[in-house]
Amino acid sequence: MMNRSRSPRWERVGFQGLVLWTGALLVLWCQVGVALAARPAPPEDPEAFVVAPTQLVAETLEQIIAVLQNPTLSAEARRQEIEALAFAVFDFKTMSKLVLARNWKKLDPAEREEFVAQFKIYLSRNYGSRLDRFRQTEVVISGARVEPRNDVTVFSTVADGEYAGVQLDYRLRQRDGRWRVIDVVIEGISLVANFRSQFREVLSRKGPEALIRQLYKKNAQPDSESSDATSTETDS
Amino acid sequence: MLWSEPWCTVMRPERTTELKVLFLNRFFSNRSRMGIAALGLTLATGLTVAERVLAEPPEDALPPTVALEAEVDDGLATPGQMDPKRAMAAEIEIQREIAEGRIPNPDPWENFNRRMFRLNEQADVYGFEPAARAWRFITPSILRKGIDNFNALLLMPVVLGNGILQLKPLNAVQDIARIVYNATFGLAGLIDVATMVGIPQNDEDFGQTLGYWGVPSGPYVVMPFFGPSTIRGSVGRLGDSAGTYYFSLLPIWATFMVRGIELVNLRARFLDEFDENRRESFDYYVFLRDAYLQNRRARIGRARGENEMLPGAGDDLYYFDDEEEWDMEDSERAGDQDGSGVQREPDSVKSSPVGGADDESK
Repeated sequence: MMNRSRSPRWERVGFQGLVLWTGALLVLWCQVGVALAARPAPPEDPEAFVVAPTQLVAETLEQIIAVLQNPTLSAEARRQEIEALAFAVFDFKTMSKLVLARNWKKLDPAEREEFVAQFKIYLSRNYGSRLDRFRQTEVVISGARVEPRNDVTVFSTVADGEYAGVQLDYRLRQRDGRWRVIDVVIEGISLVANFRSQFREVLSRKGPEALIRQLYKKNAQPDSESSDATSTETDS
Repeated sequence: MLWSEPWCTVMRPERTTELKVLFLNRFFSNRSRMGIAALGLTLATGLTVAERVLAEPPEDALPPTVALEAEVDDGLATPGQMDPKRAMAAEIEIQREIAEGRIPNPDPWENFNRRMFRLNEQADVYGFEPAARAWRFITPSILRKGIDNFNALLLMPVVLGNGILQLKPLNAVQDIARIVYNATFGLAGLIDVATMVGIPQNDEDFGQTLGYWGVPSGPYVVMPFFGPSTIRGSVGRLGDSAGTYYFSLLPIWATFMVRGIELVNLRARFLDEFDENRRESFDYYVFLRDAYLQNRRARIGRARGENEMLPGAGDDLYYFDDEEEWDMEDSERAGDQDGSGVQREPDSVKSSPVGGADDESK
């Protein structure tokens, strides 16, 4: 009797308790999850933390310089190889987001995809084609630093050649267990910051369609390589 | 080096403009120059203080729409080229950000600056650039390199003086050694022996010295023919011209010849880079302005011994408080119809960006 009268009560309490506890845990877990997502704890051992991104940068630099110094490749082949390297190392989606900042929200999803794709082409074309002037460059990595929220900046300096002493910093972010570059800072000039203000200017004056149109137009321009070649021919 | 080049050459045009100022020896006596520098300095600090005081926003600052209307009245916005609703939204957002101080406006005199910028561009396209092309055509590269080195030696007193003003004995020793080496073994500066020996080329100017001692940069200004600068930078140039005072001892035609050759020589070195920057930037004025400001900030940061190689925006540049929100927004739009609040769950936040975007595109 006692048992029977008690058990439903127990069960009821147990059920309530269960609900309460799971609810509380859920809330707690959500909050912890949100807090973690927003600001991951700094690594316990910064030096060990920094090893992977530093190595990634060092290896990529080495590969790029090896490609640049390879005399058997044609200019076009060189560019393609470097493009492939850059595509693997740069996180173009995050870069696009950072570059557009709050304006990212004003692009609809189709436009976003278009923007990321075109921005990627733009960067690789315009910067890839300039590399041919940098054959005998050596870049020395001088250190790395953990940034807030566990980004890592790798510092490097150009050791010789015409641009000796120029400082290059790479900012990397880990996403899905992979380190990828999200910004390049040259002599204090950040690619993301600079494009951000330029794009902000275009967006505020003409709107997102115009920006994407402009990107297409730049990408459709005759190859800068060929125009460079002609200009140097006439000059020297 | 990948990615490096367009940006690092940006700082070099700035150097050309620093050279131009050395003509100032011709037009101002030492005393009047100091007077102007002092005046400018007071003006600059006064302006920045005034700006800060005035910019202290009252708690209920202008509502964004009012700011927008003011903007349109200025004729800055060019309506009609775009979907007005979206452009409006973008504009409001930017105005609000500036009003909230999230984006400090570095360029309050943009209208004037753009006009000056246009003037300088004309001067370059029709004056300097053709001259530089011709110069590159007729001279061997070794001669151009020699002139560059010679010019660097001429500027060394400026570097030395500012190193001392920033209390850097090591730099001063390096600078003196560099002057001695290059002036003697380097055949009066034509060969850069010091770099071969391993003495670094320091880079200081009076603008940096002022920054080092905490003088604020003041608003960005484009000087006619002298190029991008800030109030502090312009004052710094005047100060620096004291370091090359020996130039006013030459006859005037000689000054013009030497300076002219040096400028054209320097411009010739960066012909391709200028072209590329012009062609590839989306707004060349903004490109140059930001590059200049960021580069200056980094250099001054380095002079002060901060390991701060990042543009001062720091956190603002790489994170947004609502970054998760962006990702979420994709999924919110995808699941708009049911309007449920499921998106608040953390794992839907994590998984949403890819899935959400896909759903949307279908």
